[in-house]
Amino acid sequence: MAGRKVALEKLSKQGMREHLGGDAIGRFRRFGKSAEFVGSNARKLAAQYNRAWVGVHNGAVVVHGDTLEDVIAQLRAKKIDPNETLVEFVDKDGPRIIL
Amino acid sequence: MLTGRFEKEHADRPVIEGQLSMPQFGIDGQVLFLIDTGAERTILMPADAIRLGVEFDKLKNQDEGIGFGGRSTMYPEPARVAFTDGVGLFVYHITLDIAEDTEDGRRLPSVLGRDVLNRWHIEYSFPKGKIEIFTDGADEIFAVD
Repeated sequence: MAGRKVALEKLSKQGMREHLGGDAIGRFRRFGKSAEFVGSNARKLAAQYNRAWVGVHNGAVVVHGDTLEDVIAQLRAKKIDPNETLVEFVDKDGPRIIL
Repeated sequence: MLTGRFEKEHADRPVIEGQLSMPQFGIDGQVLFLIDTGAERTILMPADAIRLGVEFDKLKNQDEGIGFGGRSTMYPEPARVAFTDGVGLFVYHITLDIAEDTEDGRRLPSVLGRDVLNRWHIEYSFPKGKIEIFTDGADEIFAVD
């Protein structure tokens, strides 16, 4: 832990901004909120939007549509950044995922 | 310490949020990764790839992978993937496999594979609802504001 503390003290916050853009942590927070929302409400979403794509931003469904491309286009039209939006196909009778 | 979590309405799958960057394509966005010790490398699945703006016709490197679904085409690309514990931002330089775009593939989550997982010590307890991740360095570490 001591090594890590020293390493962090040496690091430049400006460096993080340059490498990963401003507000990197804000993006983590907003996306995390959306991911937690979907992970805890997947059944409800599937019942409401069955066999559709949904876009969840900052913890709320902001768009839905029949195709992934349509949902991304709707996000852009609403000036919501797809890079920090969770987009997922919801299907109440979908197959189990095995990898 | 980084943390993952179990998604109770997604069959309790273990996940962690990351930030993915591929400067060569101007790609920089958030991805929810399935923690998958069965995957040799980290894979960006088509729904995330399309959402982040990957243009498949610009991917020149090609490789082949195999899983339960059979063989599939992968497009390996250098990438950076970052995770945060709210104190530091831990960045890993990886070769990311971008999975070819298929209808079924679009429904699968991106996976965090052993290229990153094998650099971590992970305490994984579903009964306690905890996925605690101890990093042992990273390729880059930045302090968080």
